[in-house]
Amino acid sequence: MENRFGIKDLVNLLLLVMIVVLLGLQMIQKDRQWVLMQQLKGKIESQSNDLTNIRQALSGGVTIGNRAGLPRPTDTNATGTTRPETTGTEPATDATDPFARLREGMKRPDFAMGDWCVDAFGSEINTLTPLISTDAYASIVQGFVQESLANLDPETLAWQPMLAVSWKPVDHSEAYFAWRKPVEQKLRAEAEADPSVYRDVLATVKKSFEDQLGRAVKSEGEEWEQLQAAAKQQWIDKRVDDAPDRPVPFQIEFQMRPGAAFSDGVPVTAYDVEFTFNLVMNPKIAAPRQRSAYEAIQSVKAESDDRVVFTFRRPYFRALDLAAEMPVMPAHFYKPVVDRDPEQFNRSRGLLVGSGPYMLEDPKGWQPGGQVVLVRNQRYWGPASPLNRQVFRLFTLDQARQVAFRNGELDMFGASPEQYVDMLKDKSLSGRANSYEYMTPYNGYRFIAWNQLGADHKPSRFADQRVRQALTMLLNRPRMLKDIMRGYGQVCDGPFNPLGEQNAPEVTPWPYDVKGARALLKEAGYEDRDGDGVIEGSTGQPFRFKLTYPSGNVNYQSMVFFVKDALAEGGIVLEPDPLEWSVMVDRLNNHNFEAITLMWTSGPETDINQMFHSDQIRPGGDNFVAYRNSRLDMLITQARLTVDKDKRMEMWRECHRILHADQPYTFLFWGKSLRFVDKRFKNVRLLKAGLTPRTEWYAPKAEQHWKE
Amino acid sequence: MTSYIIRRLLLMVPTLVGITLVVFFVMALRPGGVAAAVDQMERGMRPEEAQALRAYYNQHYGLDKPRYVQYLRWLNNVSPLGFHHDDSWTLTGFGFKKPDLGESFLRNQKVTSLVAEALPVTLVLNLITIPLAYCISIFVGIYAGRYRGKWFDTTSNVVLLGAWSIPVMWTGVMFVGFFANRDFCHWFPTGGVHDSLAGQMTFLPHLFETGLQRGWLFDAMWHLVLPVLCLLYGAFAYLAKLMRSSVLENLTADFVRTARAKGVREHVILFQHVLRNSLLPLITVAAGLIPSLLGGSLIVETIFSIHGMGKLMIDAINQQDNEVVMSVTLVASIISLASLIVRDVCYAIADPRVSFE
Repeated sequence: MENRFGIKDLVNLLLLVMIVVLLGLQMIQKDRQWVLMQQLKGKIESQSNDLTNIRQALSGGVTIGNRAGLPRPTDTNATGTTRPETTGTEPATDATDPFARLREGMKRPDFAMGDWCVDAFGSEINTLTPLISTDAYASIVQGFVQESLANLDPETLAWQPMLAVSWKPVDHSEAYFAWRKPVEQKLRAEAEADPSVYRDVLATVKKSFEDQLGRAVKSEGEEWEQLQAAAKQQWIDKRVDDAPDRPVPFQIEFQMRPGAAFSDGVPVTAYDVEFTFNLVMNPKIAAPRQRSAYEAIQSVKAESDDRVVFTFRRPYFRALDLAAEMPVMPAHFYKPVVDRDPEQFNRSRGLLVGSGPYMLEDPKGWQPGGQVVLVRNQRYWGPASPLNRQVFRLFTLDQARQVAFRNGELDMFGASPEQYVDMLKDKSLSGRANSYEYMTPYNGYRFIAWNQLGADHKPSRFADQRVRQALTMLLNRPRMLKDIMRGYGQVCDGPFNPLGEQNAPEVTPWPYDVKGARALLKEAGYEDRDGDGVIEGSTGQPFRFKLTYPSGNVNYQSMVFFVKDALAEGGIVLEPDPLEWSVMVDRLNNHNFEAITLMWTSGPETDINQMFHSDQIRPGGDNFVAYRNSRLDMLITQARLTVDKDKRMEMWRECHRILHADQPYTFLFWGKSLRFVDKRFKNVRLLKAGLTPRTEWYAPKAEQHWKE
Repeated sequence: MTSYIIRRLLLMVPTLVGITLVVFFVMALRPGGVAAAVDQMERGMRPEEAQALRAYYNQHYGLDKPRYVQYLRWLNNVSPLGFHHDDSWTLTGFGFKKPDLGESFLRNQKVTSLVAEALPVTLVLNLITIPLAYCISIFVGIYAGRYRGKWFDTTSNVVLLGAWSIPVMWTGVMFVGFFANRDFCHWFPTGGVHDSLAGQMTFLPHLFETGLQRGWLFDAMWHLVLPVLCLLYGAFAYLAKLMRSSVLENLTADFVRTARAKGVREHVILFQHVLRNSLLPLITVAAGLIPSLLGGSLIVETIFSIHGMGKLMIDAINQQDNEVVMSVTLVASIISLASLIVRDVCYAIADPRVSFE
C-alpha cells in the first residue's frame, strides 16, 4: 500500500501549526503584559524613592520658601529625584550616630543613589529564616535585613546605639556573690553527702557524652570522675538559679529608638524584643544553639513600648553583647506563623523581615536554588542606603568565581593568599578593582595542639612545659607565614586577637632558636643517644609522633611538611597523619591523637574557657589537649563573672602571660583578610573591624554598572 | 509475559531492602556520626551550643536510637504498608499508609521538598543531553561503520577516543577559563542557570529602546550550553563507539548480503535494515542511563554552580544526613530496577526470538 500525503494529514498538519502559532502568540501577549508590569513597577519604585526622600527631609525639619544662604537639596538619585545633603536630626560628627560615615559620603559631590553590589557565596543557602538558619552566608544576608539594639562600631569597636538609643546596666553582682557563696557550699556538701541527688543530671550528661563519643562511658576511672564533676556542677548551678530568694544579679535596661520601623512600616517596640527572646526560648522552635547561647538570660521584659529590661541569671561578662546583638524580629509578622504551627516556621525557607536598610522583595517567598536579591528598604528609619540592591550569587567552584570577578559579573572577591598575589600582578584587574589586606577582630589563628595525655591515659611527652616551648622555638614562624600565607598575616603569640584589648603588651612570640630548643629538650631528658640524628628519651624511645590534620586541604598539608622539616632540625620525627573530617572529629572528641593542627576563630573579646579551662578536658570538651593550670582556671572563671571591663581585661592579660609560658598550643599565625572591591564603589575604607559596611558604599552616577 | 513482570516486580522488594540495608549500615558505621555533622557546621561553636544542637537532633530525629531501630523506622516510613504511629513513635495500627521519604535533619526539611528543588534542573540537563547524545552517536556510528577505514572513520575514532578519555572536571574548568572569560572568549556565562537580571526579563527575546534583550528562555539556554556540552561529549563518545561496532556487526550479517544480492539500494539497507538492528545495544545502555536522570552530575553541577541532585546527594553524604542519602538511593534504585524490567520487555517486543514464557 502506498503512503500518500492526504487531506486528513494536511488537516492534522494545519491543526498542529495553528497550535504552535497560537502558543507563540500567547507568549508574545504575556511578554507585552510583562513589559507593562515592569514599567509599572519602575514607576512605583520611583514614587517610593520620592516618598522616602520626602519623609527623610521632613524628619530633618521643613523650611518654607527658599531663604538666601540656606542649602538646597542638590544631589540627584538614580531615579532623577532630589535628596538632601544630610538627613536625620543628629549631627554627622556625633560618635553615637551609626550613620556618621554614610552622611559624610552623602555630602560628596559625586554621591549618587543607584547601582547594585554583587557578591558571591560558596555554597547553597538552605534557609534565610532567622534562628533556624545554620550557615554563615545566611547570617550575612540577615545582617542586611535585621537590626539589633546596638552595634559594634566598626571604627572603634565600641557599642553604638541602633534600635535602642541608650542603655543602663544595673549591677547587683556583689550582693549576688555574697548570697551565692554559702548557698553553693551547702549544695556542694549536700551533693557530696548524697550523690543520688544529682542522679538525673548525671544520666543526662552521660548520655550527651556518649552520643558525642559514639561509645559507652565506663562507671569508673578518670572519665567517670570528670562526668560526675560536670554533673554535680550543673546540678548546683541549676539549684542556685532556681532558688526563689536569689537576688537579681545583673540587669540591662534599654530605651528604644522612637521612629524606628520594620520594612512593612510597623514601628519597632520593646514588645518585639521580648517576643524575639521568647521565640528563641520556645522549645518547639529549631533554635537549640541560640537557646544555649541565651541560657544566661533569665528574662526579657518589655515594660512599655519604648523600654525593655534584660535580666541575667548571673553576672556574665558577655551580658551586653548578648542583649545588644540579638536581632529584633517583628512579632506581628512571625507570631501568627509560630502560633499556627511552629513546624511551619521550622521548615520555612525565606521568612525574613526586619528593620534593616535592605529587605527581600517577597519576605515570605524566597526559595533556594539560585541567588539572593535584597532591595533597598524604602521605609528605612535611618538614611537610605545608596545602593539599590545587594545581590548574592552562588559560585561553588573557586576558579569560576575568580573568572566571574574578572568578567565584572561580581563586584567583590575574597582571595586566598596565592590568588591575591597572582591577581595583584594582573594589570587589567588593578585598573578595575582596589585591593585590601587587613586584620579584623574576627580573623582566626592556626595552631598545633600538643596532647598532654597519652593513649594509656598517662602524661605524654608533651605534658612537659619545656618540650612544648622547645617545639615552638624550633619553628621559624615568620618564614612559615611567608611561605604558606605569602606574608599576609601576623605571627601569633596567644589566643587573643591582636586588635582586642585582651593581649598583655609585653608578651612577644617565642623566638626561632634551634640551639635554645635543643638545650630545653636536653634539660627535659631528650638527646641523641645513639647518634642516628633522632633524639631519644631516657628510656631510649625515639621522639617520634603523628601530627593529625584535615585531609584534602593543600594549605594544611604544606604547613605540616614545613613543620616536619623544622622539627627534624631538632632531631624530632614527625609523621603526617591526614584524616577525613568526620574521622578527625571522632579522634578529637575521643582525645585520640598525639598532636593536631587546626584553626580557631576569634572575636573582639575571646572567651578561652572552651579551649583552656580544665573543666573542658572531659570527653567532648574542647580542651582536647588535657591542659591544666589551676591559676588559669581561676582567672578564666573570675573573668567570665566580671562585668567591669577594665578589671576583666587585666585578668585576660594575665591569662595571656600564662598561656604564653605554658604553650599548650604552638600558636602559629593569624591570617589576614584579602579582598578586591570594584573601583566604582566609593566610601570604602579600612576600619578596625574591616571594610566599611556595604550599606555605606555608593557608586557615582557615571560609573554605575547595574541598571534595573 | 504478565506473570514474568509480576515476578520481577515482587523480586524488586527484597532487592530494594538489600540495597537500602547495605547503604544504611555503611553510612551508619562511619565514624563521627551526628557529632561530626554538628562540628562540620562550625568548629568555633561553644561546647554547650554543640551539645544542645546534638541533643535536639537526637531527640527530634531519633538519631541516638540503636542503628537497627533507626533503619526499621525509616523502612516503615517509606513503605506503603506498615505500622501507623504517633509523634512519639507509639504504634497505633497496621495497614496501608502514605509513604514518607523522611527528613533531612541538618536542613530541617522534608526529603521530598529537597528533591523537588534539585530535581528539575538535573532533569532539564539530562533531558537535553541524552537525546542529543543519542542523535549524534547514531549519526556518527552509522557513518563510521559504513565507511570503515576511510577518513571519517579514522578521524571520528581519534576524536571519540580523545573525548572519552578527557575528564569532565578538566574540560569544565577549561570551558569556564576560555569560553566564559573576558580575557579569552566571553561567549558564555560562568555559572548558574540564569543571569542576575533574568527575573526582569520577558520570556521571549524582546526589542527595547535600549536594545535587544535575549529573554528568559534564551538566557536559560545560554547558561546551559557549557554544562550540556560537558555532559554530552563523554556520553556521545561512548554511545557512538557502541553504535559503530553494532553497525559493523550487522553490515556483515547474512540478511544484509541477501538484501544487497536482491539489489536493494545501499541507503535503504543502511537505514531500514542495519540501523534498526543496531539500536538494540543502545536500548540496553538507555536502561542504565535513566537512573542518572536522578543522580545528576556532581562535577558539572559544582563547576557551573548548579543546584542539582548530584550536589544534594554529595552534601548529604559528607554531612552524614542519612535520611536524604537513603531516600534518594531508594528512589534511584526503584527507577533502575524498573528500567531493567522495561528494557527486558522492550527486548521481547523488539526481538521475536526473546520470550519470557
